[in-house]
Amino acid sequence: MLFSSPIFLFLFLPLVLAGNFALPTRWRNAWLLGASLLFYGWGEPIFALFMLLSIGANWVFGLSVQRLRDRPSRAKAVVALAVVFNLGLLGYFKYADFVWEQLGLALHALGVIDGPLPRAGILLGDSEFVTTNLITQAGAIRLPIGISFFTFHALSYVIDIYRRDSDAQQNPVGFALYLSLFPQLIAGPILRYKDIAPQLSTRKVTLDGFAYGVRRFVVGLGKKCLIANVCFVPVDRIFALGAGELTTELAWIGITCYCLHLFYDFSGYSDMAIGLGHMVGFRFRENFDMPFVSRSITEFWRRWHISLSTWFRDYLYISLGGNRVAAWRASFNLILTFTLCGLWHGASWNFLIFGFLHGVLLVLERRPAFARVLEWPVLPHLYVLGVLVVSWVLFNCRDLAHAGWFLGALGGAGEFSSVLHPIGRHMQPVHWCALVAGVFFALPYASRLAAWRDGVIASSARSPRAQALQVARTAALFLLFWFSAAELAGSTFNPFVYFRF
Amino acid sequence: MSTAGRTSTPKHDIVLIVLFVASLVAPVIDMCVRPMEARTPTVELRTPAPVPTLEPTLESVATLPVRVESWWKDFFGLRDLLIGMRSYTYWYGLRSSPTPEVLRGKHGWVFFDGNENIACDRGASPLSTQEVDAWVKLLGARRAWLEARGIKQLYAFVPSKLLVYPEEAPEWVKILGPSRLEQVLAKLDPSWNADVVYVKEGQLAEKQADTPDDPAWFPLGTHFCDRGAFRAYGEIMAKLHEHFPSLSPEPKSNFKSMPAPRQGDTWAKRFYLDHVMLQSIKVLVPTAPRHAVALGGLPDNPRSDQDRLDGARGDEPRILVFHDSNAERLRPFLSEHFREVLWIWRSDFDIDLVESWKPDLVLFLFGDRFFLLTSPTLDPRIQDVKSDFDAASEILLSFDPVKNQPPLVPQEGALVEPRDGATWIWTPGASDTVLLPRFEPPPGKTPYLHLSIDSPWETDLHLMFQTHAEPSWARRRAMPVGLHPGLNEVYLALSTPDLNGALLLRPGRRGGKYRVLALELRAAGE
Repeated sequence: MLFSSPIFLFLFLPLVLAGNFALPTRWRNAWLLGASLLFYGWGEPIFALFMLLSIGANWVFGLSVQRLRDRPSRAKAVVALAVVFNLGLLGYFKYADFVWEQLGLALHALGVIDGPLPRAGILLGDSEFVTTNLITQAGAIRLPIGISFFTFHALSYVIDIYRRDSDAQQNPVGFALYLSLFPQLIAGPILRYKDIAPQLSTRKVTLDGFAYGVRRFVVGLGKKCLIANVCFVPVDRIFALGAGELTTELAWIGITCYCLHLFYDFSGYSDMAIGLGHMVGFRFRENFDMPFVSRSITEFWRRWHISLSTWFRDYLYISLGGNRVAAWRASFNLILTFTLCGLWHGASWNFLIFGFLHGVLLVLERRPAFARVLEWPVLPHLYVLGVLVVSWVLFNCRDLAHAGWFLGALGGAGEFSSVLHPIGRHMQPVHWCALVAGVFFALPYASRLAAWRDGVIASSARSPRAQALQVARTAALFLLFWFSAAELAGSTFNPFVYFRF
Repeated sequence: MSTAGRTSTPKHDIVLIVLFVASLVAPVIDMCVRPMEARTPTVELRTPAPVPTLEPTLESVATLPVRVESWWKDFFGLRDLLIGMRSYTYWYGLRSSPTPEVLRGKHGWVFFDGNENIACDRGASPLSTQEVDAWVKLLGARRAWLEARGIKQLYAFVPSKLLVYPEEAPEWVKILGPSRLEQVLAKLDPSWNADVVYVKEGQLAEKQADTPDDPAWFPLGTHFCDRGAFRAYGEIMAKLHEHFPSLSPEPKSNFKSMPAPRQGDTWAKRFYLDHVMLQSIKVLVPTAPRHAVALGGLPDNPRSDQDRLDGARGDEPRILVFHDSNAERLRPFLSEHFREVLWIWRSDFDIDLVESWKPDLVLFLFGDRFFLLTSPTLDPRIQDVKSDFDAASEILLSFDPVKNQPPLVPQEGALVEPRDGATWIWTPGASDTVLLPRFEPPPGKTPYLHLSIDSPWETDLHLMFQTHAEPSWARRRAMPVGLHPGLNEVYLALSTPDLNGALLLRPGRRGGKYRVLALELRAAGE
């Protein structure tokens, strides 16, 4: 189920909120757990069982690590087992196809086999259960939604206990809720157990907390429905154009819309997750902080998908020795961490190169000469935007060849004539509006305006100006909600030309 | 950690929460207050999702969420009002079209762009030379087949609205070359002169008489109004006169032009804006008595309609019309001239029907889109694809229907189930499809497909294919085949170059249970 779907917004959410407030406090975890499993299993019930398996195994790992804390080598062995179990599942579901395919290509290149290997999923057999639940039509392994997120939640849990940052959750319902809590289940922010543990046993929904949650949720919904989804319409069409059809101007419009789509889609989801968390009493980490104002890639990763970059920092980079090793080794650690961070986004060479590129740039940015350049005016922003454009071309292209000629088109090597694909064919006024709004709200002006408004309210909440600002904000949120709902309804609007045709 | 710093007073927080909760439950309240019929999406001209039911089977339980969500998407409260609000904002506020199916032209004129219709109309998506040749070959084979049975034929083509009103199209729409139809017409030799009529010039002339309340075409629709239709009718009758000298069109004085009591062809209803988005049009009301009587459709063919002339002399011809939506406004005029008219709304040629009904003439009445939506696919009894298939030796795909292996994969709401020695495909509606197992197209060879399929009714099967250059599903990369109730042996030549091996099958326009008994792909040729 998705937040931006009518069934979530107008059925699931009101029922969950109603149940959460109607039930006594001691039943709320069980209620939210049930809702979360329903939310997760809605589209693919089989994977709810898989989620339960992961919950059971990691709960046992956590208890075992806690019990063996006084015997570090054994505790470490259990942590290793948990890492192998969780990364094994992630590796199997997310990367086995890719690795298998690369193996086949390598064996073919070496002349060991005549043609490509069959898809990895074929190895599971051809029973009805397998073909309907576990593999795709093409024989690829089906990916449980959100696996990358809850695998990291599980790892954070076991490692936090091992590091004595928190104690194991004795109550299986509490632990299951941590792993499956629906607001953050399928697209983050990535939780740390130590942050959530106290909230699993004691949390309070306050009036201002709930109102804050509503505001974040509605803003997130608006970002997703009114900017991200609208910007994606031209993206979908422009990235589908062939090499001989793509003009340079279309390539730039396409990548700009894609940048905005990616940012508003993801940050909108995070806003909704944080808002929903507040509505049921949870506090999650912030995940975005105006990433497009960054002056370096290092700064960008402090502002973009913060919960992921800090997870990699805390659980991988630091575990590899972090900065407390020789300079060359620290550089290696950084590149390795970001290459794996790239691979976390998906199993393809595009993501691997994306991560590697960012790792290398982070190492370079530590060089004094480079750091000095980053202090110049304007240029650092252009540098960051340039890197992001290249990165996100890699993100959205089918393969490296596609990325190659798309980048070529951006560089001016696109189709010269635009008669076949004029801009108007792909960009209606509504798309231009979403693009302009997207650019405006990605810059600091809107948040400065919000900060000014909050300052006025905080200084004298009952003054006429503060009252007017609050009324205006509530009205704006109300309109934002209903315009977003109209876009959601529009996504179900599917007119046919002729009934009988 | 995200924090809820105090940036509002409790009074404003309460107002916000009340508004939010009220907004969340408003659709459910609407569902309790207004009847379901008031919210039905049938104005979108499609079959709404059925009410989900739960059977005591694992499959039913497993698919329940998908079915519930499909139903909810179609019937959740306030849906119609929300879509109307969105359409209004798009159309009037942002001067954009709320659906990719149509473009918003100048002065709010609607232009159809489903299946990239506009690209085809403006010559940006032309047929290849091979495709044009394949069409000419197909039309020739069909003509020979009809002539051998003593049946006359006429192709009447209606231009797209864009070709009649290019000045009303959005600024970026420039005509680059001939449309697909015009490409094919240019390739037909003079022997076709008596058998083809393209009514574009007449429509351009008729447009000159437009007034704000009497356009020749519907500004908010995609077809001609009565006045444009009457002009086309005159041109078609002139051609029919060459085949049947006793036929001549009625004079326009037999009709009176009056303001239309209804909106007619308009997208406003589909935008849920029928009370807001209005157009001024006129209709032609007959002043003389009418003689054609509508008899309804054939029993087994939901896409058929029949007209019979009341008090016919007996020497009037009987005609069979294969048509698209352009026939709707021509029907009242044309039916007055024939002893019987059988109207069949389908784009392919049903030879069984021709042989059983034995018309004096077959009229093919289509718009420009005919060459966008269909491929030059002949019935195997006219073009012997079966022999080509039988002669092909290289097997590309062999499907086991007993086990559904390699599997047919259901898309949208379709279900696939191997049972009783066959693979069953259950489709709730026209948009439900199954992916066929992917195959490797051998370079330089033509793949031939054989499908043995049991259909519950008279319908059309569509086989869609992708190319490396266009790896997506589109109606213009689809081959339609007519299916009869019972077992059908379908043979198709996939002669389009650059296939990437992906195939999508829509068993029929009508939902139902289709049984696949055999599926095989072979390749032949160099």
